[in-house]
Amino acid sequence: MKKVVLVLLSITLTLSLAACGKKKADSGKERLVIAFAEAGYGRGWLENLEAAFEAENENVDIILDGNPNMTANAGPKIESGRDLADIYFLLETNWQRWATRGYLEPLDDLYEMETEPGVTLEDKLIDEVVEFGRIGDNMYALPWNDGVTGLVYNSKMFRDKGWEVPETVNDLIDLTEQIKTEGAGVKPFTWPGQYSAYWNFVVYGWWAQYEGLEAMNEFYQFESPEVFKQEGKLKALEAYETLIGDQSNSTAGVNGLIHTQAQMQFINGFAAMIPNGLWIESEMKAALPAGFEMKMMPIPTIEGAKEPKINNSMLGDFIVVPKQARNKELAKEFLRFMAEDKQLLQYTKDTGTPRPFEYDPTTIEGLSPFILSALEIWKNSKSFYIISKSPLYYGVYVNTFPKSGAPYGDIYLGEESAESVWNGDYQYVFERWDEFKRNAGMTD
Amino acid sequence: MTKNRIRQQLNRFKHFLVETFENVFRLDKSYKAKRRRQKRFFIFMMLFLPVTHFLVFFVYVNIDTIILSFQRFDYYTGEYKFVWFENYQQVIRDLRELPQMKQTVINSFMFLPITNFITLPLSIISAYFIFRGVPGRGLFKVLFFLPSIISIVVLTMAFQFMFDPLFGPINQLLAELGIQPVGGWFGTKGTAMNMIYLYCIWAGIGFNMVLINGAISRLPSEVIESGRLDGVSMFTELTKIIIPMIWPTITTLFVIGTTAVFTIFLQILLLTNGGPSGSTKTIAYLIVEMVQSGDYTTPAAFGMIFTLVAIPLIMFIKWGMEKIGENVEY
Repeated sequence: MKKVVLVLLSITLTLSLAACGKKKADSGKERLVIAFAEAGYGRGWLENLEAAFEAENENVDIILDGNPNMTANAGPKIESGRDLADIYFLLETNWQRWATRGYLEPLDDLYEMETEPGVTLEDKLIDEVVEFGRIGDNMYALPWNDGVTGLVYNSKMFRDKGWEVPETVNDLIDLTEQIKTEGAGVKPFTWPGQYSAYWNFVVYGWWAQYEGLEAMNEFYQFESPEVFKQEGKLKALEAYETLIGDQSNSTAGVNGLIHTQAQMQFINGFAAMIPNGLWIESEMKAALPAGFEMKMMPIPTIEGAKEPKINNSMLGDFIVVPKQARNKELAKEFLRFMAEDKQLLQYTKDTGTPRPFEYDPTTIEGLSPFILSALEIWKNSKSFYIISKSPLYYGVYVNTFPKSGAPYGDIYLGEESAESVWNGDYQYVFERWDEFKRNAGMTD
Repeated sequence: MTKNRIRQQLNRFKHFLVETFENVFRLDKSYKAKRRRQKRFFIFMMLFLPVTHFLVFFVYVNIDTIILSFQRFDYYTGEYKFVWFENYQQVIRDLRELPQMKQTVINSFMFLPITNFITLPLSIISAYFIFRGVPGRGLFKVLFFLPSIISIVVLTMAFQFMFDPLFGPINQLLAELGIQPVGGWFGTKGTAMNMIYLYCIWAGIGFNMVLINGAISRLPSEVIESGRLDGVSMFTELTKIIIPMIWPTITTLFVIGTTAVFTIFLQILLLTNGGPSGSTKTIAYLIVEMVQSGDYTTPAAFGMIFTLVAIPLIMFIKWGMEKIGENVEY
């Protein structure tokens, strides 16, 4: 009996292994395996896309492989070439390393494909992100989500108390005083001190307003340490220091909170505003109290701004096709299909998030007031994207705050000032510049 | 086809394979030789998986780490190039110059006294109370053993909630007494690391206690009874009879406690995420953080440096512990 079981097991194992190498499913259909980071947006959006693509391509069978840790798990698979999916939708990580090592399929032909008659995918991408996926002469990645980040406010509280949405940083400073006076214990801000980089959403916005998008792009190319002398960075940090250096403007113990704790404080009315992004609504859906209303405000304009209307996209999530994927052409066709108008609108309807293409998501019916307020900002502002071609940046030798990372907690606690951070970062980079360049392979 | 027919066919096939094998390799076909071969085959099969596992996941990984520590990734060529000791120089310079790095090392080494001189003695006392059946032992069991069987993610969340600045019951109690750090218990540099140590003590007692309890319960009852007939106090029983007799278990836990200096990171990730301002990072946390950012070579050198510290330290501690107490046999 044991031997019979052994023989059956061996046959099963052999057949399973043989199936792994199949390009076609047993049904005779072409199989497309899509792995994705199953994060805040769930999997409904991809299931809708799957259904739409399969309806148009009857010989295709799509298999979805979602996992919250997919971004970390994908690296070893892409590098080893084993157990690969055909497409990866991943959150921001160092994909450039995979591209330079030859693990990724060049997507130049995808960029040339037409999404609508006479319109290529490259034409349809927002101008500022066309170069997002380029390493050297080739395109290796496609941006996944665009974003809207900034200050989210309790719109019902604002309406009930008669508070105006601030248009400038000075208005915002005045508003914080008003909230403390009239708010009956409500604090102006709550924020997650453990993930204090949430303040990047606002501070980068002020910086980009002050310097303009061209100068911001120049900063992130890291041609010399002198870029760390940009005045906009100092002005933005000073605005932050004025608001948050005053500890009475934040809820108690804010520096130790994680994002869900801060968001719970916000939706339960302990604070009027929170630095956050489009995803907050879906992330807190299960906990939203009845009658709670929120909206996103355009980033208040900093004094001396060159570009008053800036949306800080925080774009970084990306799509890649591994070089050794089995169905590369079908993968590209799927990605082209995703960029058609109809699918882009459906994507935004399902996730509440735009993709970085030229289309108007505000026309979608049934969006919540929060999503609509954010999409209006996206539509009416210039979006700021961090797209660096410098190995110093994607090799993690230099970043925005190179000395000690995001300085927001230290400024809140009074251990650093805007000026000490600004000077400290410059000094740190200036002293190590040659070494960084050598380490990144830019000089011998 | 009946069962017997299938069995016959399989036996014939087996004999055919065995004979072919023996003929090809001209093997001795005697009964003794066959038994010897079967025995060797059994040993080979038993060793094959663990040895392969050891070779792939220990030998290969460690050799790869050593090689990586002498290399650096070149983004222009997409290749790793040898830079010899540059990664080591960089790590040593950062350790000397950057206050955050110094803090990281201090945070890590503080786990040595915390785990060995606070958690371990508390575990011994708790295990002894449970062994003696003192009043409240049930409560002790729940308080200290529960953390060992609950997921660390749930446990850290519960611990964080107890000190939540707005909703936490312990925080509210302390706030009534006027004790409330400005940035919150996990967001103020003076308190965040201590909160992690506190958590590790609370969560660590249960694990140690189970092992110590097991060791105590295996002690010969006549030795304990003889002491009690002589009228020894609980303190004397614990310090003069039980601790010397379970010394090998204590030595093991002491060594495990020392390795925490170089391995602990999940607690930090879940409680403070390394903050505020990187003040609660440990050696292992920093290595994980660097690897996650896509840098494999610097953390490899970082890891190698601390491996060179860890090996003699742990061997010295083991040697010292064995010198202090005898290896009791009973």
